Amino acid sequence: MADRDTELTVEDLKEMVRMLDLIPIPERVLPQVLDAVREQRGAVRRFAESGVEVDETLTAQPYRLEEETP
Amino acid sequence: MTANGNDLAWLTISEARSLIARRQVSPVELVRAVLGQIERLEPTLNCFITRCDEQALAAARAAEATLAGGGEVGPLHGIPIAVKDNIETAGIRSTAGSKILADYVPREDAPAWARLRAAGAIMVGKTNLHEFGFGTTTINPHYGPTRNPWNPEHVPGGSSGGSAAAVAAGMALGALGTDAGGSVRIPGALCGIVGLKQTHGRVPTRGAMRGGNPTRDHIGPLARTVEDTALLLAVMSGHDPRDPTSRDVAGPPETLGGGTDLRGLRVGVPRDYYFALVDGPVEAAVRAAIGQLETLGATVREVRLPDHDVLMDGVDAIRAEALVDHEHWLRTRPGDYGEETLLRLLPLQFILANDHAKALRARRLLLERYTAVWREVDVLAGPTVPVVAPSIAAAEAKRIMVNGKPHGAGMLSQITRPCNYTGLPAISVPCGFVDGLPVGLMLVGRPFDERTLLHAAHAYERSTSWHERRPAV
Repeated sequence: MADRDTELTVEDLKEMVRMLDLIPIPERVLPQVLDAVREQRGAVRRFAESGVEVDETLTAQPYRLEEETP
Repeated sequence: MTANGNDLAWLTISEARSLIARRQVSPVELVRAVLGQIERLEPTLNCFITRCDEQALAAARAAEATLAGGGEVGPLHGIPIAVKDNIETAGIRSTAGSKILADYVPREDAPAWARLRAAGAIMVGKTNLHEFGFGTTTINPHYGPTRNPWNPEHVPGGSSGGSAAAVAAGMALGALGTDAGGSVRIPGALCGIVGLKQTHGRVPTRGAMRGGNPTRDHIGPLARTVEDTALLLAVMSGHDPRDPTSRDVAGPPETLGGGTDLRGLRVGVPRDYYFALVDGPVEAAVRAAIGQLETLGATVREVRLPDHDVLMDGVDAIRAEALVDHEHWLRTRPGDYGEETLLRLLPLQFILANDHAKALRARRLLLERYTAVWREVDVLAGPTVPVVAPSIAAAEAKRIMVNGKPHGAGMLSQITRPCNYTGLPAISVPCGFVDGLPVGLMLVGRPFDERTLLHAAHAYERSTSWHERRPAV
């Protein structure tokens, strides 16, 4: 995944915006949006590689542990 | 106590409340003093987007008439309060710091403000913020930067920078802010006042505008003392049947005891995350404050929060929820957004649903790490912000230095963010100065246990004098 994130390009973002009908990105901010997308993918990658498992985690809203509520 | 003229603007809410009740100060005198301070300092600090001088004076006269007539008054009768401009106020323009909502006038008050108003509070104006609350500096592209009263070349923090700077400069006795990543606590710390993010659900967030983070956002109080903060919280708290994020729980204490005895309180100092990125002098001030808690009788011990770093990576995708409120305008009016806000919102559309779903589970795991800690301690203590207020120039250049290394302004919310994912209550109290700029101590508590949190913060505050300093501006 790491290599693919690094290789992600402005052209890739443009293609995704076009194909998926995403919100158009003004040309002047495309490079910075690309950087931010890479950072987001980096967070996902680090979490995936951390070994912390979420498969068996139960969650729902409200997300607070009810037993902690006075 | 006697207070005259401009001194009135520096009264705490508790002092003003007492003087008004004893008819030693009138609401009109008090509001005039605060408006005078706003008139004097607003050209320098730029705290307000909309001033409400006439409405405030009219409300003050009405408050005075009620007193003269012997009518029943609320706990905030005649108290001048500032309200962040992303909190809806009926009949008063509420821009959220944006060009898009520059002419928006709500028909209804946000419940948090409605409750303060019903208790007698008088709004002196709507305060500046980072556009839509999406940032930590209050450098606003449409309304200009708010400046820090301790040094106007520096940012006040954000996103509730106008609210915090106003309270710190005597331009309001208290204020409302919003906090989806630290936006009450950060400016509270950087402006040398108290900022509280209560447990998620204790105060309705309905009427907090277009922050787009309903599971992370809060409307919270800013004030010059913990006692005032507790009073504001008590008035704001309570269930709102029209707000699905709101919870029906017992209220926090309206008043705090006068003691500084912390015997029996167990304070945890996290070994993980909280001190990982903190500038040296700030860390020294915070560690000294923790030492003071121990001096007051608390037991202090290190605690572990395993996996905290990677769990913060894991919850990151929850930010995608912020896009929902803005998709329409991003498609139809992208040119009306500041560039920084565009850069914050547009990348969110590339977060995958699968990663968002995992993030919700990571949030549960993060909360479980804290829940384990509550078996060992009653509160956690650490810095609120890794640095003192950076200069506006450094923030704009993304050269905020931490131990000699440059960072962007997102770093300012590094330590405050976890509580927005866990919903846990956290308070920032002044605990020192570095280079003439304030440092904040953050205490984190159990869900809905604001009582313990406020008690600890109050005892610390009463045993120190940091909160008594005033900026020279």
